[in-house]
Amino acid sequence: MSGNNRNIPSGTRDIMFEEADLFRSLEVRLTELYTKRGFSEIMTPAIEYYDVFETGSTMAQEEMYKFTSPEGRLLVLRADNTTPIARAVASRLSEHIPTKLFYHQKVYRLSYGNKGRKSEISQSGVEILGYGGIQSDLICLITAIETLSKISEDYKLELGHVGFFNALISDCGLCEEEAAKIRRLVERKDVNKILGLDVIKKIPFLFGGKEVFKDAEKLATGNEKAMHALSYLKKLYEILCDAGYEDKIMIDLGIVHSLDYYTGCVFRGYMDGAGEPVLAGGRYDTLISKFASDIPATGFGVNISEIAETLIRKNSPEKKRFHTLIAFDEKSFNSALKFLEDTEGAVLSHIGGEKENIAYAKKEGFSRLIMFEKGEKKTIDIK
Amino acid sequence: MLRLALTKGRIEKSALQYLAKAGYDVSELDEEKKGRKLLFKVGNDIEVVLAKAADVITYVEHGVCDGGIVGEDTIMEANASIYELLDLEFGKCRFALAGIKGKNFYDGYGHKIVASKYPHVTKEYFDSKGIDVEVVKIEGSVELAPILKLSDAIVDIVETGSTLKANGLEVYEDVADISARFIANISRIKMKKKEFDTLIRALSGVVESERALNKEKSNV
Repeated sequence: MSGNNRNIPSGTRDIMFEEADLFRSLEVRLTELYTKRGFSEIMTPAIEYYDVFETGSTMAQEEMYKFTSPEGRLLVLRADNTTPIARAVASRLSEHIPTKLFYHQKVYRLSYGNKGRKSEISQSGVEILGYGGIQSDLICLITAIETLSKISEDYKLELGHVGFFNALISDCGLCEEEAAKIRRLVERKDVNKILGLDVIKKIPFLFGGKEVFKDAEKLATGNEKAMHALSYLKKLYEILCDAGYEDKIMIDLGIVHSLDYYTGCVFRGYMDGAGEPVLAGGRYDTLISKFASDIPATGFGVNISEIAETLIRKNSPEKKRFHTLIAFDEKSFNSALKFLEDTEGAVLSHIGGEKENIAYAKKEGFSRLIMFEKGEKKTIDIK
Repeated sequence: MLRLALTKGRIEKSALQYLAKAGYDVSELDEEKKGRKLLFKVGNDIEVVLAKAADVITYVEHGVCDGGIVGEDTIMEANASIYELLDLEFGKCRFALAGIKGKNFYDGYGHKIVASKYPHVTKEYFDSKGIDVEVVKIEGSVELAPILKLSDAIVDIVETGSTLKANGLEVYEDVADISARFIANISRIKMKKKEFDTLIRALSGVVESERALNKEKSNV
């Protein structure tokens, strides 16, 4: 008919062979890292009630895939990872705090307009729950750095603090709507449209190395809350520099996305060749309390889909190489199995017949074919 | 090395003048030399691609170009996540709400229809005013829509207003000012901060000297 039965929805993709290997190996590398650091894995349902995301997420409802449950309640396909985890922590883990969790789960976001944006995204990440102090911020940041270093040699982690912007904007005496508009402009570093507000106008350009602190202090002078946020950020920055990461970390005080969600230090990770931040996170001390359990928390998510795509764009990953193909007939299965066990780089052929196996071995690049027929072994070199 | 996407046409010409004034060698993009090429070297540090306005944003948002120069009209319509770093102050015009001369768009309680090449800009504008209108997308000569009574008004780019006048239309109100912007990918700017710093400093220098020049002219 029309061929529609062979399409996949816009923003999704079939992932296979080398690319699937890469996805899985990224997850394996991160699982190793997180378990070694004492994190435990959490898996939440792919579908949740809409109420969960309405309570905990800053995402617009237009971005969520929705359908109804048999009882007529609105359901959402997992739109982000932190919200369901916050729900689970509030309802099940309040007696098991403090704790550290990690996840590898997909999120689903409606994308339309053929802009090439994804609607199914593989994410990994960690959440550190139950303590609001500097120790848990430092562990979160170092885990973010270790995560990036497992993925790319050329990476940067960039730190900010929502308290800086919040304190300075609340000094401006704007109504909520105006302040939200200014925040959106700062997020885009679009100062051309900010009228007056000379202090706020400078915030988007407070990014770079440690020289940023000097300029920021000038802006924050006289504003106690802004100074407090700044000195906390500086402390984190200096501790990480002492730990040897000075050339890997940067500052951006213009990170002001999701301000009603984050409550303290925020950060983003970048890798060479990627078109968007590959890691994003921060402290979110008020989220879990929205689910009626007052637990401070910090964490981050890693965009595995973007990372895999970037790595593949940079240098296509090697296909797994087997050099020996073992073919067998029904009388020789045992001999074939025995030979397989003793031979490195060998794999059983799932097709029968000598001619067919020679053709298959050629196509797949095997260097030799071992035929077991009626218990007899025959070696054929493939050119 | 920075890869920039420039909007083909008028913006490209002014952008190249600005880059030349900032000290970059733009000779590969001379009209005679250009031919059918799409990728050009500008000095040793910059590579330029030429693209349609909306595509400039798509390339920059995906990070296959580090930055670009494009009109604010296209940026407002695209709603992409990018950094808008610099107002280059050329290609100035405005978005306006316009319709049949002498009519009041806000009169009456009837269902209002607005035609535009920029449905997103139109929707956002009326949403921000808390007014519910139906937006109809028109691809060219939007002025026809109110004349043929398809719509009550249009939202479109107005430079001098002479096309409106010639067709018995007038501007009801201004929606937004427009000019060319230097935009950047939100990740690339962090990985290539030094290269970006150099270029932005050079371009802002040109913007400022042009501004001073224009002021002098208008004083004379």
